[in-house]
Amino acid sequence: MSNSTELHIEENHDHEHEDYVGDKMGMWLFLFTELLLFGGMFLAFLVYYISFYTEDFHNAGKNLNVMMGGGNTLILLTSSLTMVLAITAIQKKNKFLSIFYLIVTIACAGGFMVVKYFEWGAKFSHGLYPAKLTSLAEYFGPSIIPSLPKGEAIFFGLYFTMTGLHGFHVMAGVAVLLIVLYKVIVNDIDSEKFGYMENVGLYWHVVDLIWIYLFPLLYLVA
Amino acid sequence: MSHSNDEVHIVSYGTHTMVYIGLLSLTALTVAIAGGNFGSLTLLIAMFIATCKAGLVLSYFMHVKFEDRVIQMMVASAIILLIVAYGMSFIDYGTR
Amino acid sequence: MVSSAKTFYEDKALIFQGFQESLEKAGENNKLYKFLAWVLSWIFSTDHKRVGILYLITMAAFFAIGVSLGLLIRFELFLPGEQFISARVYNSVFTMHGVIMIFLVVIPGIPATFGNFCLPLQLGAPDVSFPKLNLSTWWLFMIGAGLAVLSLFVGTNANGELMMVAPDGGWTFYVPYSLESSANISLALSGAFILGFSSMFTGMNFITTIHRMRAKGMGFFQMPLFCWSLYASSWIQVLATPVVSITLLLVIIERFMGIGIFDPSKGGDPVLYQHMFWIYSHPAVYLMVIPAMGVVSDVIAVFSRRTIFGYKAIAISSMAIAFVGYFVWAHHMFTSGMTETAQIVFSFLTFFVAIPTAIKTFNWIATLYKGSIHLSVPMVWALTFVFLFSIGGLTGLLNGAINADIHVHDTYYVVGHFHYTMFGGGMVGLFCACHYWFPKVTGKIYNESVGYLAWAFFFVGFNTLYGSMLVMGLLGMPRRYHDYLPQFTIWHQLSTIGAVIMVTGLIIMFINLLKGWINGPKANENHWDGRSLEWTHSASPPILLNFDKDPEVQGGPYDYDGEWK
Ligand code: HEM
Repeated sequence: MSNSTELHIEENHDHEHEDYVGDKMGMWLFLFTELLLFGGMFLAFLVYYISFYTEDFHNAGKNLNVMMGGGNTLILLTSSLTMVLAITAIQKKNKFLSIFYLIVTIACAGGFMVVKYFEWGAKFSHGLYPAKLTSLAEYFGPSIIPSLPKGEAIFFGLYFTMTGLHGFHVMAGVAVLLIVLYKVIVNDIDSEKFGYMENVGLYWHVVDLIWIYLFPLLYLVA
Repeated sequence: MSHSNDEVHIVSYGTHTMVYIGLLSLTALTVAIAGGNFGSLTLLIAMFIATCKAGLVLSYFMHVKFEDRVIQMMVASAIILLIVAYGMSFIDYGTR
Repeated sequence: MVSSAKTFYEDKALIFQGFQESLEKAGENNKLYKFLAWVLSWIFSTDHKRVGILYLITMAAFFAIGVSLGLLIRFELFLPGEQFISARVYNSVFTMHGVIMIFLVVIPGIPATFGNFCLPLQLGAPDVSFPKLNLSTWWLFMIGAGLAVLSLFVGTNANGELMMVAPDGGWTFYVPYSLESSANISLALSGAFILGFSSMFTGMNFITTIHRMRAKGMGFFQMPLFCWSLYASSWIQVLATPVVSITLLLVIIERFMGIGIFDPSKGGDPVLYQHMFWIYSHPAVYLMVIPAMGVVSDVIAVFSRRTIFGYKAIAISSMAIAFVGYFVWAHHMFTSGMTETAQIVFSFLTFFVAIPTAIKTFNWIATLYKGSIHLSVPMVWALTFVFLFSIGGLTGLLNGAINADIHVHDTYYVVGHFHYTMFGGGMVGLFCACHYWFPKVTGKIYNESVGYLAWAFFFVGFNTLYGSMLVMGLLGMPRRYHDYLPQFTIWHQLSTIGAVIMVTGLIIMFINLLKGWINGPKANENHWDGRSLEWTHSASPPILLNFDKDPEVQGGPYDYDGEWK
């Protein structure tokens, strides 16, 4: 008796993994939550930009470095491309090409964070950092945000929260991409079974998608 | 309703690369336009271009174009919901 | 149909199975290990039925805490002036009452408990789509709840002394007060943030399960209505929860970093907080009540022994409530300084929610008509739902009308109204589910006469308690006050007496269910003569993977006298 139940369990676990469409649907639903999470932030941004502080936002936006923002856009778009290419490669049974593309993707993500580091560092050294983080005053001098016009202060508040949250998602992306890389190497992902990789890809594109809106809003409104 | 993997639509390297080039040109376009002076239209134009880019990413990179009907409808309704919620918020802020 | 296989209580599907089994071996001659192994077999179980029961037990505990806090409020208000808690503590008490009841009891509510238990059974599936994710929602729930409860006790005041600093200012955490209060708000908000994830994952899981795991022959329109209601509420969980997550996160960030987003002294807009908060929290009130409506639809059909009247209308109106409910949030904000245009639009839209709700109510009544009604305990609770929720809904119309709302805003009228909807709706639905699926969950049956007695206490007490709140609200008693003018004394005392009667009923009900579970008589396999898969095709209590062989569906879920087409 107990034997047959165990068999049943085995079947069930297989069943759980077999539902390719179901997994993808679950992933999409998760992505909706991500979209709406950032959607709330964008709502706040638009409300302040359109209804309260249009001028201030323009002025504050001029302080951002378009080169760095644009560069990061390029990097993210490229990583999105290599991500899908990696998937196509695995579907076409080209494991090594897929690994190559995955590594490029991860490298791009790393590059994005490096650029972000320098960008934030530059802001901090000008005294532009959230005012309550008083421990930073030791390194960068007191925060100048409270002395800015109110709209500009809010702009920087939103800038740090939005790019910070986005950066957090990039790092999470790197973590799951590393898992995918591992799975491809040990043949856990192959031309028959690539649902996991596709779903991670979807997540990675959402990170890109959010940046597609962040970039013009933050860097180009000026 | 079950789909086996062989039904999966494989997008070619070429298509992806074309999409990528499209995305790059659109990025260049927004940066260029932001330099010009369009006044209050700037935001609208920037958002329009961003939405075109997002459309490309969604339909090709994220495969929505080749997906099940159900998933397409889900994606559409989530996006529509978000847009409507934005609109509703501006019923208040737009009339301040 | 009746299987000789082991029930899910004796069988297990676990993560860390090896660990648990070695504990079990060690437990053969050690009581402690044996107990530990037993606990692990629950808290690591991916079986949807066990997860559902886990939720049920933990929520019962939180409900008990919430009820105690509610009673504390009522006793304090028995006489004007300060009785035994100070004004400051009073603020914390009603805040924690609200937080616990909302975030730990009614929002997970029916979906997490009976949704988990019954959805796969009703669909004819062996489990939900993502069993491990399902278990993780319970863990997230416990972590979030832990943080929220911790925030009650741990914290420091301005001088760095340890003290009780439970959050105050109401469960809505309105800015700017929540930015400035020295109470332990960040911790409570982090708790709510994590609870949000638990809720979202449950929603994702249910939607995927409903799309992918229905039995052979079961189209969307052959699902029991409870599944439909879970489908609608899951969409709310997925699409609304993230908005409040980000809002609460922004408040936390604001408290730690001072970015100024909601802080008027730094140029932020506090009304924006209210918008973002209610974009979630209004749909959330439908999240509480739609599953209850699903339970009631099932129960009314089964106990009238009739096909439900207007199946499609009920199914679709669930979706309609979820959808319209998304666009009426600002009716909570008529007095917060929105523009007049916005007030009018939102008031107008609010009245639309009444339509799908009324559709349901009339369909239920039409189902009863000429049915052979069996007034068993679950049916009594279902009818109570219809009665109390109708009062809740009708009093809501008054709140939705701008000019009336300005009069009753922030009075006890509103407190009465939302208790009628959330307690008389959401919670009564849960009680109804408890009595209806009891034989399914336990294989036993409670004492029905005691069940009626508990109900009678509850019903009388409930209406005294909240009915008098409606009245004193109209007379002008404001909510969230620690004290009141002498002319309200009589109403407050009535209300407190009602609370005592009602809680007596709750205690009787709880003991009755518990006793039934421990040593009740054995129930019949299909105790209520239901027609949906969980009654017809699975044992009571069910086996581990629910069905001996995958069921196939021919008729509908309410296939009584062949009326089903
Ligand atoms: C024994 C049962 C209960 C009693 C005696 C009770 C009593 C009360 C009272 C007197 C208040 C008003 C406090 C004030 O405004 O000063 C209140 C507020 C509230 N109750 Fe209950 N209640 C009970 C059960 C519930 C249940 C089951 C729910 C949820 C489903 C609930 C949700 C709330 C909420 C959300 C508030 C508002 C808290 C705030 O103002 O922030 N209560 N309750």
